[in-house]
Formats: sequence, C-alpha cells, structure tokens
Amino acid sequence: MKVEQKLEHNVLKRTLIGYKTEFTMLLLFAVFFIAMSFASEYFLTQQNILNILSQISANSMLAIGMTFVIITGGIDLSVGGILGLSGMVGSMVLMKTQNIPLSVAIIFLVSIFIGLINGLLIGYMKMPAFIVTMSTCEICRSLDYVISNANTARGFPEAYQLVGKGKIGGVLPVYVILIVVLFGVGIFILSRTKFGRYTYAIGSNAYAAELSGINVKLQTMLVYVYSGFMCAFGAWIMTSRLMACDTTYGNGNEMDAIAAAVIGGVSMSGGKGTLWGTFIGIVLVGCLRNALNLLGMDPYWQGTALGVVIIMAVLAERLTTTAKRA
Amino acid sequence: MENLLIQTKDIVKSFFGVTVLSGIDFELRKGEVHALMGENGAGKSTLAKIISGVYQADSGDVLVEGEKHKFRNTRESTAAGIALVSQEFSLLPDFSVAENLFLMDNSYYKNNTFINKKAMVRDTRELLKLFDMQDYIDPYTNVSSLSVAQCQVVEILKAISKKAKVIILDEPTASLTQKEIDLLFDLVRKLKAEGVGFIMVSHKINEIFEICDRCTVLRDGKMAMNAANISDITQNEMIQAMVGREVNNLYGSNDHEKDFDSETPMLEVTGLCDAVGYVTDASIKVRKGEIVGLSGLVGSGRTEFVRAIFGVDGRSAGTVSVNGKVLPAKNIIASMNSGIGFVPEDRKVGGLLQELTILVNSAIATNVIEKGAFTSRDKEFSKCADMVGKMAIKVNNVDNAVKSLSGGNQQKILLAKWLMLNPELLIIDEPTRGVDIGAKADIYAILRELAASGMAVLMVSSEMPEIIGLCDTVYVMREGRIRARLTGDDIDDEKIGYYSTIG
Repeated sequence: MKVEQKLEHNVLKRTLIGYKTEFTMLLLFAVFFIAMSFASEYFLTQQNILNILSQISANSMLAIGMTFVIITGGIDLSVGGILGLSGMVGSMVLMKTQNIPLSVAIIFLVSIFIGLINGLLIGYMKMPAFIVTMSTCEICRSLDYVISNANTARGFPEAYQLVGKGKIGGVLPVYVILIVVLFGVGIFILSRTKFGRYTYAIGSNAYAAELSGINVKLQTMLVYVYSGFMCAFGAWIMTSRLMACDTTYGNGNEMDAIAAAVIGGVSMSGGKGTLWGTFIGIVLVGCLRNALNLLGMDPYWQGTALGVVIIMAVLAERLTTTAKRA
Repeated sequence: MENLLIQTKDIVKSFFGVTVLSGIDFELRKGEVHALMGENGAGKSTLAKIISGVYQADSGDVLVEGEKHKFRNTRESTAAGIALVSQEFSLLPDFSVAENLFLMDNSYYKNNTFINKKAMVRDTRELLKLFDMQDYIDPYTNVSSLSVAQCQVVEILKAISKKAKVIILDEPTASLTQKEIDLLFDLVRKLKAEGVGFIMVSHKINEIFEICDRCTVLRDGKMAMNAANISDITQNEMIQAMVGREVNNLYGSNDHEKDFDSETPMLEVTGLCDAVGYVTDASIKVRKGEIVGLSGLVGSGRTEFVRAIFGVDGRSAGTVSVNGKVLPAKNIIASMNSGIGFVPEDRKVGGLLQELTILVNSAIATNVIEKGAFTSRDKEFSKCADMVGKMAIKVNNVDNAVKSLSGGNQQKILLAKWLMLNPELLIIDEPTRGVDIGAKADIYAILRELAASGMAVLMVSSEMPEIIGLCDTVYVMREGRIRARLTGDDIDDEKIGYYSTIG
C-alpha cells in the first residue's frame, strides 16, 4: 500500500530523532572526557574509573527512581532522606543481629514503605509532590537522628561489604554490575512495558491518560513506590561500601539525582526524557567532581561547577526547542 | 481608493525554506466584514499575523489607509489601529474586566502611579452601555470567571477602547452557543456601521454567509478566491475554492428512512442523574448501526451526560446497560471492556498526549485493554499503519510527536485510537471541532461507514448541519434534561432550535 511505504520504519533514523538530547549530551561528555584524559594522566586509569563509578553508584540508584518520578511530572525530594533512614535502620539491626539478609530486607521494607506513603498522598490524595516529599524527607532526617541518637552504626560482619566493595572474579565490582543491571531494567520498563508507557502518559497529560482508561492514581503511587525501592539499593550500596552508617548519609543526594536527570534531558514538566540521558547525566556529574579533585581545585568550587553545567544543559535544550517553534 | 483600510500587495512568507504564503493581495474596506477562509494550513492565520505584526512578511507590502507600514510587533500595529482577537485570549485572568480594558492606559493613573479604579469602572460601564451590554458583563468581575463569549466581547471592547479601525477575529465562534454568536454578531454589525473593518477567519460557512460582505479564500498559501461578494457566490463554490475539488455532499446521503425503533437497543440509559447535578432523569436508546445525536446548547448537559455514561463522572441515579448488561458507575475500564469507545470533546485537553508520539497515542487505549505487561512495537506499528491507510491520515513518521500534526489529522488519530478496540458503541463529543473541511468530510464518511458496518454511534455536536446531516435519531437537551426525541423528517433546524431553547 502506498501509505505504508511512506511511514518511516528506519530504526537508525528513529533513534537519532528520538534521542536527540541524549546524543548531544553524550557528545558533550565525550569532549569533556577526552579533554580530561589529556589534562590528567591519572584520569583514564582503571583505578580512577572504578573510583568514579563507586562514587556515583548510590546516587545512580536514586537517579533511576527520580527519572520515573520526573517523567510523571512529579518530583521526589525525599530520596536522600529515605536512603539515610532506611540505611540507618538496616545498619542498626545489622549491628545488633549480625544478620545480613534480615538487615537488607529491612532496608527495602523501610524504603518501600516511605515510597508508599509518598505515593498514597500524591496519587490518591492529589497533594503536590513537592510538598509531600519535602515533608517526608524532613521526617526521615529527623527519625534518622532519633533512632541513632546521632551515633555512627558500625561493626558489620565482613561479608556485608560484598555489594559495595566486592569484585566478581577479583575484577568486576558488584556495584558496577548493579548499575548496569538496574539501569538496564529501568530502560526496559520505560520503553517496552505498559508501566513505562503509562508513566509517560501521565506526565504528558494526566487527564487524557485517565480518559484512555489508565488508572492514574494507582500508576502515580507505584512510581513513588518504585522510587523508594531504588533508594533501598542506594542505602545498601552506601552502607556496604563504607561499612558504617551515620546521620549524614543521603544528605542532599536528591539534588545529584535531580541534576543527573535534568542534564540528561528529562523534562521537569513531564512526559519527556529517558534513562539513557540520566545515565549520561550521572556519569557526567561523577566525572566532573572527580576531575575537579584531580585538577587540585578547592572542593568548595564543586557546587559552582555543577550548577553551571545544569544551567547550561537546560539552556541548550531551551534554545534548541524554541528555535524549532519560531 | 480612500476607503481601503488594509491592503496587502504580493505578500510572501516562508518558514525554514517552506513557502507558506505567496502572492497574497488582500484588501479590507471601511465598514465591511471580510471573511478569510481556507483549510487548516492554508495560511490564513499566518496572513492575519502578518497584518497584525506578529510575523513579518519576507517581501510585499502592508498598507494601512494607503500608508506603507512594516510592523515589527503587535504594539506597533495596535498603534496603527489594528487589533487581533485570537482564540488564545490576551486578557489577564485574575484582573477585573475594567482593569483589563484600561490597565495599560496612563490616563487612568493619578500622578502616573496610583490606579484610578473608579474612572476605569465608570468608563467600562459607558462602553458596555454603548453596545447594550451593561447587563451582560459587570466591570468588577474577574476575567477568570467570564464565559468564553464574554471574554471575546471584552477583547473586542478592549480593541475599541484603543480606537481600533481594523479588528481581526480568529475563529470567534469556535466555542460559542447560538445565542452568544447572535450577541457577538450584533456587536460586529454595530461597529461595522461606525466604519470599523473586520477580518473574520472562520471555518463555519453558514456564519460567513450570515455576517460577511466579501470573502477571500486561501489554498496552500495562494489566493484561491479573491474578494468575492458573498451575494454572488454559493456555498459549494466556496467549499470548492477551499478544497480544490468538488465536495458534492459533505454528509453523504441522509434520507432518515431507516427505522430503528423495532430493534433491540445496544445501549440503554434510563433515568440517569449525574453525581454533580448537571443531568437529570435522562433516558436514551442507541441501536446497532444507528447514529444518535445529542443536541442542545453548550451547557445544556450533553457533555456531562455522555461522561456519566462512559464512567468519567459518577451517577447518582439511573442505569446504563450495554447489550442488556448493567454497567457499574464511574468505571472507565468496565465501559471499555463492554465495548464502548469515547472520543472526548477537546483533543488538547482530554484526548491526546501531545508530546508523545503518534504511535503511542494510537496504541494507548489498546494497551489498557489488552492483557500482558509488555508493549510490542511491531504489532502497534502495523495496527497504526493500517489505520493511517484506512482513514487517509497524513503522517510521515509515526515516531513524531502527535502535536506536529494538523487539527484534522490529530482528530483522526484520536478516532483511530478508539477504533483499534473495535468498539460496539462509539461515543464522540464534537467530532469535528477545529477541523478543516476536507478532514470533516473524511470523518463524516468514516462515521457513516462505521454505522453501516453495525457500530452504534452516539454523537454530541453543536453544529446543527452535522446533526441533521448525519443522525438517524436526535435527542435534544436543555437544562440537563432530555426535552425531545426526533426521528425521520422531524429532524430539522427549527424543531431542534425550539426544543433546545423553550419547548
């Protein structure tokens, strides 16, 4: 049929058009990466690369959940708080019982429970995500202090460091596997499942999604539960890597997660963005922090550099889309 | 000619190398209403925007009262006496009517700083009185609580208060009721008598013949009919100029002959009251193969009625049954599962996911109904391609955002999304709003074809010709109640008008 031939079914072209922002950021990242390789000979060593990956491992978990939330048009400011609280509860149980499976299960239970509360209030009670998650974050932070009495939990069994420090075959760190697998799962969910499609639909137009038969309340709730679930991985990796937990853990981590998504082209107004972009975003943030260290910059400058990068990324996006509209 | 308000000479405009207007010679006389017509994408809005300074022409001249002007923005065109009243209002919703009219006028500020609200309100009253609208609009009301029609009137008054000589009305009646349209047209006639010139961009041919003096038709960015006197042309000639081919009968043949009364109803609604209270005790029946129209004024409860049937809103009384099975209230999924499709009234608000792709938009309802957790691109693509072919939708790439399509093609995608479910009953609210004539004819043909193949169609429409031309049975609503059921030869303008206002 004539019409069918006209329809574009070219995978390469589709990919190029659909992932324009992601490719732009990838290009930018490549330029940065190559420049850094020349600027510091230490940058491109295996040890440094693993160091960067280890540092972004916990935050990349938060960023995965955050991407889902932002695609629905929401925001989850509580991820840092959830990481801190669930990590602390799990660590204290671990300290007392030395039972690893029990502690990990508790980390997941606490995280998912807080995600569920977020989801119920935002999805079913229709409260603004910003207010709800800001409040649950405050609650988590406060409970973190209450239960720990501001003490550091430590004295974990040796085997607990598997996730944060362990290496399969002595080469491949477990946290790298977790990053790859969980990003892979997230990408699959977003692009190949109904769960992912409904996530986009709600962010694009929640009312139209509802009229199409989508259970918007349930789906919104599930996305916040998913975000909580990803926080549990973050808490697990973090406590395992440092083999301790204090009340500063997770402090402000939500900002890195949001930054990664935004740099990767996830639109704060919802309906747009991919986890590929977030992945580039989180790696870029990690490399940037690492590079400033290597170049001997005062760590106080990190925030400035990160802020400028975020603004530039969003500005570039804005400029390219308004040019199209004119 | 001294009574020419606007004259354009050989206007050319292109966006990114695509020529959207070329060789446009348009003129507007003092005291005339000049219709500017054409299908979506023909370039009429672009021309209106060039005249009002939103866009600048690549070449060619715009003359205002014989004087050449090159407007760089709307401020300059306003100063020259040109006002554009578009579908997106330029009013500030949280300010009062009086403030909206005079907010930017320095003479209403004491010492250039303090607002003189009294003077604003006084002058607003006077302006309203001039057109007998003092009871229609209160100067103190916030614009956010005005109806669309009232906003339109305020926009026009705003233009008048700025001494506009030329007023461009872009689809002024798109969401007005007949009563409001009459009111608007009265205002236009009064101003016309005072020498104001109107350019009216519209799709509604009936209205053009009612109010306009001359008519210019654009097609693909070129002149297709040049300032013809309305009294010299027929509707068919106008449609032909717009479409470029002959459209014999927009609605197909409707002889109202088929008798559905003896058949068992596919959908039966009895004594329905909606949860909010817009609809009271409404009962209808729709049979297989029947096109049933719901007519009435905007606000008569038609949309609320179909929403309660489909389960978007709750019901406080009454039953809805499909093929004899009673549907639960406020349960969209149950309605979809029992074979109902629902095309809502405003595709931007409740219909399409604008940023998402054409493919996703076409597949989303199917996703909800089909079992399984995964989506299959190949399956979706072949279904979508099939629909695109069947419905003659102009699509280059199904992975483009649906908002890149024209209004008519968007509406067809929205229709396709529901037709993919093979519904037994299709509820469609305002099937052709904001859709050009060519796509309109296509959609009518599709609806007829669907009915002929046994689908039951329940259609809400504000366009009388659509109701009369397509429907086998018409229910007329007023103030939330069904006032009449018309069939056969009883379906005409007069009876529908009678029952929707007084009967």
